Amino acid sequence: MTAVLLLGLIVLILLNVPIAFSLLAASILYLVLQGDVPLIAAAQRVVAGTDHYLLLAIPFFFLAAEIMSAGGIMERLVRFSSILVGHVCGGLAHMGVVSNMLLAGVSGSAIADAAGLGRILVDMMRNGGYGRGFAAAITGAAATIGPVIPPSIPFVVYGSIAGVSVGSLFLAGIVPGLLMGLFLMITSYVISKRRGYPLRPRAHMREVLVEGWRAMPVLMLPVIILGGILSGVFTPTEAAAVASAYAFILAKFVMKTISWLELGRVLIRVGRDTAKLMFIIASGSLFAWILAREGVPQAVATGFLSISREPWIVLALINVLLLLLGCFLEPIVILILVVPILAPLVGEIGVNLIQFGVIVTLNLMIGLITPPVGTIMFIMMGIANLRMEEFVKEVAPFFAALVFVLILTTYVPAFVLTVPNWLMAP
Amino acid sequence: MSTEQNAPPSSVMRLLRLLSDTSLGLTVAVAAAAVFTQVTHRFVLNDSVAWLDEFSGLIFSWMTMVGAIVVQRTDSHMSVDVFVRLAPRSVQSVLYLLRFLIVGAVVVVLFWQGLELTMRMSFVEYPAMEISRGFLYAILPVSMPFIALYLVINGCRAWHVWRQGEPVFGDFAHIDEHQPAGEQL
Repeated sequence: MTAVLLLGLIVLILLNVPIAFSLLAASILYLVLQGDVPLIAAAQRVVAGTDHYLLLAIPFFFLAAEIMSAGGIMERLVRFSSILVGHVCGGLAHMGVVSNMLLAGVSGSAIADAAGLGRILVDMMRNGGYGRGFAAAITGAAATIGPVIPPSIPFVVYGSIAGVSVGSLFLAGIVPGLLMGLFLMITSYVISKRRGYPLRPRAHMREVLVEGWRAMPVLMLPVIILGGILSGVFTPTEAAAVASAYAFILAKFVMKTISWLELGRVLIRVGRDTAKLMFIIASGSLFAWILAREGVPQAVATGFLSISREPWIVLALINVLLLLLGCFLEPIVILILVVPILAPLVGEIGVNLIQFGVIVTLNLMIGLITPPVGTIMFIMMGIANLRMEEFVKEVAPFFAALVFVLILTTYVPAFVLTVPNWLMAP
Repeated sequence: MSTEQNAPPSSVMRLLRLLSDTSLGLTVAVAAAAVFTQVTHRFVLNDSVAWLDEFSGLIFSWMTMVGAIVVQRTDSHMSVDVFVRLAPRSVQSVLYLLRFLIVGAVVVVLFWQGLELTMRMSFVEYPAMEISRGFLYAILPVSMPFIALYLVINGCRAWHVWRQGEPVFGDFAHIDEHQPAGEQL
């Protein structure tokens, strides 16, 4: 019966049935064939899947980022980043990486970052004499930092599935996020040096201070979110709502850069983007319930452990599996399907679930820039007017850099766990 | 692009679009206001309002399903179309019909089972809000007919596209995406 469920799901997804409906159709088929659970359970699980207070953080993080973006905040971050690192060899590429790292503190979505910053950064790099493919590749790779540096929508979803603290996950993502930025910048530096991309003059200290001051209201947002959660004043959901309110007050009354009409559009966009994820999560909750009922997580754990009981080998196998899945499926789908299955296995080999959350998220983000269905890859191909093979060739060194960070994150737990252990110690 | 796709939507469809977009925007705004009020109330008065947590959860469930209607309108629920686009045009039409029937069957099941669930749960109340939990379960019987409506409309559009000799797995997201969402507000 498990085979019917899983094969049914794969066939439906390949037939282009929307993923949420594929999950529902496979689950309903299982319930009908099994016959011992009434169909009303399907409706009950779907509704229960939407009634999840923690996940309410998702629309609020979207909202804060959308309001900031509509209020012209992207340009401020890009200017500040340009002044900070624009003079180094490959400066405009570093500017793209730093802009994405700063935006990561506002937005929790890699796709939103790529779509929001992508055109600005690619245009600036092309005008600055950089190759079209290189500009698209580094911008796309840098966008994957977004959900690793807090706040992060994948961390919220993972936290709700695995039952771990979202605050700890946010803190655990800081060092890996910074490492991603560092290794992407090193790779950009080497490529830029080899290709002889033009240098830019160093900015005066006064310019740094002025642009830093202009970007300050945005840079305060992650401080509010993390500070609120760490001090115990807010839950993650409340922190996201406060971040939205802060962004609204800033954009509407302080900077005066957003109209009521634009705000209405932002609210609808946020609702639509949230629904795309939440409908899958709700449908996935029914599917995950059936997987648990069929004992699939235990069977998968037994299968993995029959290959090896060495944690490093099991983690390597999990990374390969996640990277492969990431090539074909959206991150949210993998989270919904894989985390409930792999969590017992990870506990069995003694890996911390917080560290595993960061490993899973990193894998899924890398999947966004890989063919054949990487969403960020398609966004960047559209922006830079590239063919897939051109993008793949240019993004390969950045892919390697990100995989190196993934290996560090997997095998050196201190990179992930030091900050949460330090700040959230009892 | 077919003439039918470019034809302006009827006033009923415009009204439906306005209603669904406005409701969706309102759910986001109300949920944000509810959670922000909860934080402020607790921070300032050192007292939490129990019903606000239940209320924001209820609104979130409605946001999800009203959003699912809006996403269905543009046929932009997440899916993998890499493989079906490789199929010949004649096979594509069969695959599209199959997809249409599968989604339709799921919608019918969720509607009937959701309706039954709503009636069963209508006697159970939220502890703090003291209103029926039927308001939560009603998201399925209310949203599914609209999803079915847009499924049929998108199916008709695909049929017209196919008759004009174009691939049936087109991108329908542009149908009203070229007008920024919420322009009516």
